[in-house]
Amino acid sequence: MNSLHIIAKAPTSASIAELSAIVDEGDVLIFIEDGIYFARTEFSPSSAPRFNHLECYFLEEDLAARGIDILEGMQTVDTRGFVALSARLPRSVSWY
Amino acid sequence: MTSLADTPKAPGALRYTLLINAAPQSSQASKSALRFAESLLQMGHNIERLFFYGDGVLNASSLTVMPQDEINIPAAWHALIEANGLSSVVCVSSAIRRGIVDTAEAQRHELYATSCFTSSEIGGLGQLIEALSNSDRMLSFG
Amino acid sequence: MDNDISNKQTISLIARRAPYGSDGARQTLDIAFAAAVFEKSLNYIFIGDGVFQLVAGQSPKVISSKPLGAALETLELYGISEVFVHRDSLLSRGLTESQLVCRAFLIEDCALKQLIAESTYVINL
Repeated sequence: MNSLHIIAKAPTSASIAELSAIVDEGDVLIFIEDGIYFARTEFSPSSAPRFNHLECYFLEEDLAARGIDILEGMQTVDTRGFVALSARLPRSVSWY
Repeated sequence: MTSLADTPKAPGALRYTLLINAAPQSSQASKSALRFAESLLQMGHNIERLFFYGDGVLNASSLTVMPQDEINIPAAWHALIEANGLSSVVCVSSAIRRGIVDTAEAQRHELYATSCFTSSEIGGLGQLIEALSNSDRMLSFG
Repeated sequence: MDNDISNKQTISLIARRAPYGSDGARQTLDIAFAAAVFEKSLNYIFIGDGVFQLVAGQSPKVISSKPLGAALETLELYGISEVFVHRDSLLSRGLTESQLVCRAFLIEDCALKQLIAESTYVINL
């Protein structure tokens, strides 16, 4: 059964290594708070395919707050959508 | 503040335990948790328990004063807990280290003040484990 | 105390912070002990800098901290035997199994993903 990973901190080499070890095929990722900066480093056309082939969402409120826009095709949700994702997946793993 | 959970529970309603692990003043996490909790209730889900741990216990401080143009997060948690009759537990070992005490802890440690909102109970980690037994989901914010 | 279903719940703890510099390692340990008292099925997973928690020979008295390694040595006494160390994290930090304070299963990414997939709850402080 797949997990929802809630990523709340900007990427570091350590967090990318740990996420890579734990995130499984079919898992869903939501980037919140400073986690939305993953949009800039892990989801550009030249990014290594670590996470960008998975089902990923960025929290709209946190994107707007930081003035970060995302590329076409990347998905966003608001907090209600975040709740819905947490209900859909049987467990969550928080990363902070 | 009125209850967010007056509506009948939807068939898909789930029971959540939320673990809050960061101080309101030093990270965005408790604001995220608060908005998540509000949305959760609005959508008809249940909160089995809020559990404040580590620096998160500072979210239960009744002695927090914020500038007028900033939200008082502990007061907002208190209002949410009261309005919705939520179970809220503050980890005792984290709390007394950080000066969060209720009447009983103040007496036990011979302190002259209390600092914990009465809407939260000071308790042990067993209450986190117990809440998990009765929940469908656990999310942590820190 | 509760029904059979809750007794079948498995909690996985992910320990990924180095000891002493912050409180996360100790907080995770305290949850492990509480879960053990309630006889919860538990996986204790060390990954990233968390593997430093298991290094033998910690003497933190001089920095006014309680020894974490010594506490981790007692896990088995609490019935916590499902202790896992992410092999790559250990090796990439120049550590070997013989330097650890307690017995642990060295695991690769795929076994780690499997543990998470079989957990009811994951606590990653």
